[in-house]
Amino acid sequence: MWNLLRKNLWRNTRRTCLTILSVFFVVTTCILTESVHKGIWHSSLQQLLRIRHGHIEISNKAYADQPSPDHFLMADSLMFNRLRSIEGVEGVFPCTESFAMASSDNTSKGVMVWGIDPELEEKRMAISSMIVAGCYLQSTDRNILVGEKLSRYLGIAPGDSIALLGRGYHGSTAVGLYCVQGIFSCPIPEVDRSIIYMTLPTAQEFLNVSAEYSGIYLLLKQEKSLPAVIEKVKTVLDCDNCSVTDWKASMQDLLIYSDAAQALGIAVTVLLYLVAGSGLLSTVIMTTNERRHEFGLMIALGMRRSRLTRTIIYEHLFILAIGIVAALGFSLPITGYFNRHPLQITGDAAEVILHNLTKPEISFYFESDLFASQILAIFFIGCATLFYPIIVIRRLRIESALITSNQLRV
Amino acid sequence: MINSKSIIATLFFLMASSFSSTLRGQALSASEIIEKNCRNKESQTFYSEISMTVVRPTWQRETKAKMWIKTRDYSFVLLTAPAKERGQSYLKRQNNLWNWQPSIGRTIKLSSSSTTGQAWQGSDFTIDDIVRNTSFREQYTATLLGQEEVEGTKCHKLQLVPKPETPVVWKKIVTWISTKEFVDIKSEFYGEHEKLIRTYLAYDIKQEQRYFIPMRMEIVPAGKKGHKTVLTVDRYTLQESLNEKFFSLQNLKNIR
Repeated sequence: MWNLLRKNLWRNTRRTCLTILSVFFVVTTCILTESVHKGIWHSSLQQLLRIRHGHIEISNKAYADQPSPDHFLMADSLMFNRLRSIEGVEGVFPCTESFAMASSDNTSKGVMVWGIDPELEEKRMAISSMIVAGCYLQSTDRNILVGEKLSRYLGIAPGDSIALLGRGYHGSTAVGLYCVQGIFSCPIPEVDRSIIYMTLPTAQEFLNVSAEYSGIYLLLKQEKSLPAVIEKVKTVLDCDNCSVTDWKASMQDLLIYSDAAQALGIAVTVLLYLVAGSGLLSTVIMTTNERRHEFGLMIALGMRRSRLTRTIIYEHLFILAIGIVAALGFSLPITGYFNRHPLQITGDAAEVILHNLTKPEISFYFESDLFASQILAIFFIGCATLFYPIIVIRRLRIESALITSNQLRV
Repeated sequence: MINSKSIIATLFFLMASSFSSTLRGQALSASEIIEKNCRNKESQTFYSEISMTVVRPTWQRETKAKMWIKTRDYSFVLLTAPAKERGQSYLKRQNNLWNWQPSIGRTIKLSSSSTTGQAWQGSDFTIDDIVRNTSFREQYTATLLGQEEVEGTKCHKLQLVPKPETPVVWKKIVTWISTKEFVDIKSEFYGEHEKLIRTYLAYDIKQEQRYFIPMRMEIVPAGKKGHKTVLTVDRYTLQESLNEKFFSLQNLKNIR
């Protein structure tokens, strides 16, 4: 059987290569398209989560309804250490978030004041690389960082001071005069337009609170460990007035958008499979029809139809396997490379992306699930196309096959 | 006979006239009611001392302030307690609003958009309520919904919808204005989707010359158990002599 297979494949290398090539193109196209599609979504989501509230958010239960310093969450270093030691957690980021009014000489604007740990935050967002004027915060600084658009609106530069006026603990007035240490430019316009960063102790003093936080954000090494980590966080915290939510709960809008985007992705993929499948089928039809005479001869010479069918199936599977392996060999390095070195987008498209989401770049998705799903899908499509030669062999009438082939040859 | 006829006629006349006056009372249009309400509320020029208690389920906080108010256009509010907030002051001149913060030595101009709905000193009153920025007459269109009794006081019930392009936070206000003094003794403030946000209540109406002033006011936010803010007027004197020049940026820092 194995011999027959080998001989059959090598007898007409042109035909074999054509089929392999067809499988190769189909698999490569599917993998690359899916990789780009998933990559764009995945990387912009991860980027967004980094900038926003991380994968998991821990806060006081009452804070969601009434976000004020009265409903901050108490936390100590012991708790942070416990959270940090959970497997799969990349970082733990405590912060205070509050609304205030920033006022320079004669303009004022509503802003969000974020109290952060400058060293920790560096791992999350790398704000220091976004600094366009002045310098980044040190943990002992009492100064602030201001977004570029906001600084332009307020007409301030590093060294100037602005007044912040907000609501502190138990309705007290939160007020302070702060010196601008640096100005950062963030790809998310919302952040750039309305956020002021200061160190945690400064923010807590501004709001008249002690070691309390509006939220503690957890970034995970891998998105897929989310449910397991959430469970662990809940057991580690063991507190009744804490709420532990994943980003899916706090970013409902995004999820709806994501579902819509995924649905569109699925539609495109189905279309792609249809095109790929019909391409593959046409190749199979062509090669099968070419061999009608051969099949007829084999059966006439006494080969059982079932054996012939089995031979054809093995041939076909072999070709599929070679095509898939070749495609993997080709697309793995490509997706791997673009996963690590994202494609940079420039021009108008970049502007649009900047306005909507995150960095104007496309990084390819590079996970085993993508390859597995694509290979499996193409494998099934390949197997489905097998029905054609099987049916042809079962229904083949020897005389007509021999005669038609002879006539064709004449 | 003639006498009795004339007596009957007089009686009839009296009845008819009183009836017609009642009719006239009922026939006041929505805009007339609002006009009377605003004439009372918005033309007072006075000095007052208030104390405001913010009530929350787990804590309470009292703030005291002095106020100088000239009609709807000018106002000064100076905080006198608690000690940490003492000396902070607010000045309103027409549509401009400033805040003086003694702890940082700065006057902060409050942009109107960010102030209209902001809570004042962590209470349920907005800055607008305190500096008297809201005007039923100028910012809203009123429709009369009928008459209702509120805690024993007969009131006109009106619905107010903001006029187009008026920068106000409320989507709708339902107010109960007393038929006698034309003081709004209860108002319900609605936000998006007709959702009740808070209820305002006025008590202890006191007459000072031709004006009627509620001496105690309450704001109860909707759906928040145990939350309310009570504002009591401790002292109230009409000061018609207050000059516009008094409401200056220099005075903002120096007022005591």
